Amino acid sequence: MLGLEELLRGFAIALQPVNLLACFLGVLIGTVVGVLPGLGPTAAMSLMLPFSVAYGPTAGLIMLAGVWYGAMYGGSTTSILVNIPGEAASVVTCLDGYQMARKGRAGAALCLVAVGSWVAGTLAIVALQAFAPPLGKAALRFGPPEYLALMLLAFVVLSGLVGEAQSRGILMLAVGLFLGIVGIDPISGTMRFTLGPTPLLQGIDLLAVAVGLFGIAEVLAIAADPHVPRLVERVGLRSLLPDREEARRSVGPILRGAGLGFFVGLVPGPAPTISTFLSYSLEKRLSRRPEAFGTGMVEGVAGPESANNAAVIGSLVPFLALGIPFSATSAVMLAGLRMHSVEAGPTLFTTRADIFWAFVAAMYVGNLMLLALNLPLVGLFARIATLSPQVLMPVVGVLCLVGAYSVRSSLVDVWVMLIAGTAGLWLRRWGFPPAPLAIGMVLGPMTESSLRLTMQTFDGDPTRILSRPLAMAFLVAAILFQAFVLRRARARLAVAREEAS
Amino acid sequence: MRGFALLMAGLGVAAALSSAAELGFGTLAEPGAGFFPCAVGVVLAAAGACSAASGRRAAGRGARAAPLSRQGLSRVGLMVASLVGWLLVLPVAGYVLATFLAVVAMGKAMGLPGRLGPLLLAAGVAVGLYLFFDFVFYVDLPRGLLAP
Repeated sequence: MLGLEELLRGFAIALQPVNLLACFLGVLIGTVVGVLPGLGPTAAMSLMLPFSVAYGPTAGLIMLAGVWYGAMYGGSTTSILVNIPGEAASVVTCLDGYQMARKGRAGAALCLVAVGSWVAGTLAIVALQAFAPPLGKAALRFGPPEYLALMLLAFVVLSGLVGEAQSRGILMLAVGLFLGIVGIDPISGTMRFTLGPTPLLQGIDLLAVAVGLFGIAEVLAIAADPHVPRLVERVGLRSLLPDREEARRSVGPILRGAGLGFFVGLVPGPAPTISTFLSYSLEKRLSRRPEAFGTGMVEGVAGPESANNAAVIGSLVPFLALGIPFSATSAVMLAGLRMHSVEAGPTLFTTRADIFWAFVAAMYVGNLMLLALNLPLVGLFARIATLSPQVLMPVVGVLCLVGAYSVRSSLVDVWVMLIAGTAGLWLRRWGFPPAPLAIGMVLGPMTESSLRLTMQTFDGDPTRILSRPLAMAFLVAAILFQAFVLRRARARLAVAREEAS
Repeated sequence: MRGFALLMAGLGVAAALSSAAELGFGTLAEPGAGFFPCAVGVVLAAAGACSAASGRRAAGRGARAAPLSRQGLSRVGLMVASLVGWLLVLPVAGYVLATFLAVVAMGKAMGLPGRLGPLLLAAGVAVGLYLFFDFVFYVDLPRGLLAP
């Protein structure tokens, strides 16, 4: 394998006590940050910067990366147990993870997330180690046209999330796109739908909306039920582990999630969040029972949670190979390295190869630590679902309040969350799916900026996008994907007709 | 349901018109700040109208969500009031007191029995979360009356 000798040298450095301690602290703090709604990995990594300086460049980088992928794992815990996404990248996990918990399969879901995250993380590290320099260069060829074509591909893949009632799903998507517009236009600086110079200038925070739509709406839905049922009556030892059928059904989604997440990670923007939506939609499209998604399908948990961990590793490629941070989180890591006068980029592989290989080796160790840290806690976490709703719901309500406040220390975000939560209760009663709204908020701003820049680049002629090979490849992929979906749908319809006759 | 869909359709029309008029649509070669919002407004208006029409057809077939019971509705009202209360009390009384009161109110709204139980739960949650967010993660939660 490429760089095996260097990797072994990296392990020798990564296994030194100080680096092991930094790695452990990183994944531990990352997991806690992920579990708590609101606090994101970027904020937590910024807080850890002074500590990472004290540890030196290698240990500091190891610690910061640990916080990042630890948070990606931890975010799923509250999504599964109480329907509150700990991170934006865990919104999708609410859809089927929480339904699994309601069926008494919280332990199995958490277990699969731990194993899936570990497998996907490890596979992504292998890809990072082998292909970082060439993939980093390929990522640089991404201009606005390629980005726009990728967004179109994403919308085609994600159209599966709209659900059976298409007009309601598209309406929610459009509401999400509209909410994503609110704030200052990043290109011209114009205020858009901010009602004047109000706190809305900062835009509407996705996490506040998601916590409201999923968490607060769930609290209110449970309060509305006069019988106030317990989520789960009791957790048996068997329900803590996935059964053979669940494990078998998870293998494909984990592997697909790993591949998809890694490649989406190479693209600028909130890659972990986008990768989860894409993975969920892909699994739904590939499933023989797409209608069962949203009722506790294990594929809807294993795929997205593997994808977001792989996307974190993927987004390290342009950062390490080129020294270009594609997200706020990798910008914090770059700042951490620069504090030690170490520059990320092509020279890192030659002048500071010790740091690069120790970092790669530490990620193998960190992923293993994450698994060892979280598997024993599965039983404890799963028992949270057995608490009486009279105790659990007030705690969940307050956690949502503090979580929404802690994102930007803004009371406006809490108001937004409350409005989204109250609206969410009625929307779910009327059959409006919440997931497309979140998708609209994630993809809207990126689609807009790439569309406007593409139109400027091509002098208002969108057909010139076909002259760009990479963009053309994405468009062809979108057409092929749609053809595949239509063919499957037609085959399914034929089978249904045959059965009916 | 139809009301919401129609409201969104109206919002879409308003967004499309105001984007084109006030934000500036620009040209295809130089799209302005209103270019994308205008397109989104059109999609919103169309999807809202389609949703309202399909809602009308569903209502005609008698497919409606079951209404909330009076008890359920009052519980939802109390929960929302507790959450709004937290927001209003927070700037004055600070995080610990606001959270304590909100947890007691939500516990009672959910039917948590006894007096000591809700008080102990509220104290534990308020102080525990405060210590965690403030001391471990340096999130500056408002201290209000407890500020030195």
